[in-house]
Amino acid sequence: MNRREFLESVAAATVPLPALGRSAVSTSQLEMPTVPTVCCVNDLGDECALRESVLGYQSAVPISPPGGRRWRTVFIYPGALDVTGVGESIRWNLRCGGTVIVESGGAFAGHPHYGRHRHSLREELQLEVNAPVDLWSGSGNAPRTPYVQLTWPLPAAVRDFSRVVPVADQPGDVIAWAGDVPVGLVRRVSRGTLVYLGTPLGPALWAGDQQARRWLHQVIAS
Amino acid sequence: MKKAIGDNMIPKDWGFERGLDLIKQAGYDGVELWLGDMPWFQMTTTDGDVRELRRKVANAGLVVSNVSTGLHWDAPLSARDPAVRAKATRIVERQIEAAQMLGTDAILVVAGLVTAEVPYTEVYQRCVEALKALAPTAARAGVKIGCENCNSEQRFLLSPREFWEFLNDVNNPAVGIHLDVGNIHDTGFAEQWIEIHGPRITRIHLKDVLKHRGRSGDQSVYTNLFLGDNNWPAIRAALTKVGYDGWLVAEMEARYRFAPDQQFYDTAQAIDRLVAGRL
Repeated sequence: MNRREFLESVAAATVPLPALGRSAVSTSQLEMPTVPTVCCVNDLGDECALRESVLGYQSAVPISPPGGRRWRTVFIYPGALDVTGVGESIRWNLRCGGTVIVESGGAFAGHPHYGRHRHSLREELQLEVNAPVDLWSGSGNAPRTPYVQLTWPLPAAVRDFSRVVPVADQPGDVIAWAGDVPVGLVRRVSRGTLVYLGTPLGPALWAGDQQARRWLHQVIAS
Repeated sequence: MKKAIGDNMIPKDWGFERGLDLIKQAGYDGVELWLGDMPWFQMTTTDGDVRELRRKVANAGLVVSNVSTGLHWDAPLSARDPAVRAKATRIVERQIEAAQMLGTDAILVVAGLVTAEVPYTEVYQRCVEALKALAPTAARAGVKIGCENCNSEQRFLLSPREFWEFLNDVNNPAVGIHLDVGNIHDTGFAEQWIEIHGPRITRIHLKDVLKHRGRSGDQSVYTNLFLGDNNWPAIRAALTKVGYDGWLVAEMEARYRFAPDQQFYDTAQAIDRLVAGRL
């Protein structure tokens, strides 16, 4: 899939996602996807801003070696900055019906790195994001609720990571909110599913957050 | 046991050498140097100037007991921002380098800082990982990293058992505990911390604590030795029980308003009484 085809598939992404924004899933359903799934946590090296996020996903993805003739693939890019180098690979996996999770590492990256992050998302994945928001600045001593609310594929509350990358208004469905700031998006692309997280989930996985783990398992099973 | 006091107790307008003379005259064996606290020992201080500090300490008839720092309150190893964590790591590395140059084998690190923003679970993981990574450097230098129990201020590792498990997770003999007997406040008893940690104690900070007061306004929860609520006979007995024979380092938060040099003498005599068990 080249960029042009990718653009067309994004524009045509009108197939609704099942059960968006509702439905809790029972624990028994979360143990393992019914279709064998291969999860690949991709370490982007210098283009990964959060090493602990890689560790978090590596600790949380289910180990499910392909046992039949068919299996699903889930590709995860933790703490991603510039995704130019993996854009083609992501598009190919989406075309093959895989799920791709791109977790932003841009919030702590500083201006030049964030600029490249934003530009590469736009060029490679047609994702539009806004400037990072510091959730904790300006609040003074006022107590705040320090959670990001994830709504799809199941509701989950995960600690915010101080700064978030908001998603702009664009095709797809918002699946995560930090207060009133949209920070996550899911979009059908061709036969696959693209998930963008503007708030890191990996550190919460690394720290043992069970809701974060259940959320990830459910995305993998979806 | 040997006794020391921090160079950050030296009155601001005295200068390093005059302060060392006072420390020697008051009867201390050594001085604790605080990286970042005083103008003579900063992150920008060159290796040559660090060696010059050692020469001045030796000229005063003292040795350096350990290298401490308060810089991690602003740049903790547990920060979310990777750039801040890198800075925190560099501070520890510089402490290790300086300790070698100063001829001592222990540093103090405030390992993590739990806040409303950065939760306990993250702080724990990051501190374990950071200390695991730093431990080989410390071991090669022959230096022990002592994580201080700043219980209330850190909101981290609040019980001795929890601290024990933390050190187990770090799992390196180059990392231990710099035990402050005044920092436990009303969450426990210093003598029990001493007994539990025993051989893992790298240094001991001495101060007394007014458990009923809490930290509010300009009234410090800390006070001078024997004025507070610590059970000093029990602390002395616990030190004997675990065989601690290392440095006792005075860390007074409350300062004398007048005759500041007198605090050095009074504290030294109090430590002598503690060591002698005349309590």
